[in-house]
Parts: sequence; structure tokens; C-alpha cells
Amino acid sequence: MSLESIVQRIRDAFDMLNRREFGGRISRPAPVPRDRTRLPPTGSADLPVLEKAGFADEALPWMDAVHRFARRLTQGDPDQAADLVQDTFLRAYRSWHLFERGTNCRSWLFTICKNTHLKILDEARSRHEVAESSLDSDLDAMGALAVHERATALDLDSGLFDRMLADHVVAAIDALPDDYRDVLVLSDLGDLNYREIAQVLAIPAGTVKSRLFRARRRLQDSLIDYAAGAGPTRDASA
Amino acid sequence: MKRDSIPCDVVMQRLWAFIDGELDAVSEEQVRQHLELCRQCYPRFDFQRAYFRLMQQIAAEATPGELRRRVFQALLTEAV
Repeated sequence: MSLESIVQRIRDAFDMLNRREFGGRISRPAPVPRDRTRLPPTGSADLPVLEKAGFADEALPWMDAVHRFARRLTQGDPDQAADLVQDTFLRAYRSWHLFERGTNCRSWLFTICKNTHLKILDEARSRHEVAESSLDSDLDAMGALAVHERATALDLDSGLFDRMLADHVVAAIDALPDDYRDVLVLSDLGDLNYREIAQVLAIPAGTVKSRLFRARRRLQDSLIDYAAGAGPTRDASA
Repeated sequence: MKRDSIPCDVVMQRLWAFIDGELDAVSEEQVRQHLELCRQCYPRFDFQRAYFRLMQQIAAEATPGELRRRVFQALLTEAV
């Protein structure tokens, strides 16, 4: 039997079960597809011709991604974000000889962006650190269950996220503590995997997981609060 | 539920890592099989999937043209 026909049999069996038990409502569970190889769709047509080989083709197409990251790092301040994007690309251009071809250019740019922002912050103010006693990503992972139970108890279904306004979600992301916001933005908006985020932020992969799961719980709790009309934010990790 | 399948609490513990594509092949398959059959866990998965759809929408925000031109100009000046 060919692999194809085996796969087809499994699909048929699933469809049958789905129709019989769930009235055909279930779509097959799968990880959210993350297309890490695709170059971003915008901005390759009008790229400038630069002296340093490869920079225009490899680095500049990530400007949207870097800009999104910069917007969140600067908590939505458009002018600060614009400066940060420009500084990031200038630094990247000056250091282009240090970029290892074939590695992830997006991660590299995020690292520069993050470090540039940290440098600005260090000069401006002391950074707000999140207390991270008892880091336990398994325990933190149960936040996925906790938020759903809360939403269900408040009679909110999964359609709640589909109805949410982007402006409000962005404000809720910006309201997260710095350390939580960074991992969440790199993962859920920047599409980096745990290992790549660990590299960008120079923290252990276990810390990435814990912070990410706590950040998702806080954000989702905050969105649930908003939907339930209970106010914009709430400290869910306590 | 099959006898050798993993329990709901283990699936919940792995749910975000599953959605992130960060589980090893065996764990991923265990979670997938569980979700296909469990009436309790599927809605929890579906709830999280809606969250990721929302994040993807927000991630679609593009850089303003003015900023793009400004960065290009800065790089061209740098290149001279």
C-alpha cells in the first residue's frame, strides 16, 4: 500500500468519526503553520542599490517585521519606533560583514534592534525587570487551560478573539511588562521559534518558554477582561 | 479515548508548544490524536487557535512608506 493511500485512509477514518461524533464541526488539529522560509511579501520592488553585497536583498525585506518589533519595544510611539528602525538598519549595514550568510537574517536584525533599544533605555532610565522566581514552563503552560476556563465561566467563546479590535490588542500588548512583551512579540508577531528568541534576547530557552506562556496568559486575560467589560488590564500571573 | 493515549492535563501542558510547532514528533502526534478525539480539549485548542489568528492579523501591519524612504536614504548616504 502506498503512503498516499494510507494517508487517505486515515483522513477517511477521521472524516467519518468527525461526521458521526461531532457533526463534521472539527477541523484537523495542527500547529499554526509558520512559514519561516518565505520572504516577506512587501518591499522588494523598490529596494535601493547599495554597495554592500546582499544587504538590500537579504536585510531590507525584513523592514516590516523589524518595524513591528520596534513599535512594540517603544510601546507604540511612532517617532521612537521610526528612529529605532533607522538605527537598526544603519548598524546592520555597518556590521554587514559580521552577518553569517545562510543564517537567519531576521533574527540577526531583531537582535540588533533589541540591543539598540536596550542601549537607548539604559541611557534614559532603569529597566523594569519582571521577577522570575520559580520559572516553570510546564506550570506556566497550564495558563492555556486557565484562560479558557475563565472565558467559559464568563460565557465568552473563541469568537471573542475574532471580534477583537486590533487597536485594543496592540494597547494590551504594549501594557505587558518589558520582558514578557519582548518574547510575545518575537514569537506571536515576529514568528521566531523558541531557540531563535533565546538567541535574540540572550536568555535560556526555558526562560523563553516560561515568559512566553506567562505573557500569553496575561494578554489573553486582559483581552477577556476587556470583552467582559471588567476594565482593560488585570494582573493574571499573581 | 484509547488506553495508551495521554491524559487531558498533559495535553493542556503541551498545548501552546504544540501550536508553536515546538514539540518532538512523538509528543506532537500524541497531542494531535488526543485533540481529534477529546470533546473537552478540542474547544480549548480552538480557543487558542483563534488567539493566533488574531495575532497574525496584527502582524500584517506594514511599514509606512515615509519611513521606508527615510531608511533607504540613510543607507544610501552611508554607502557613499
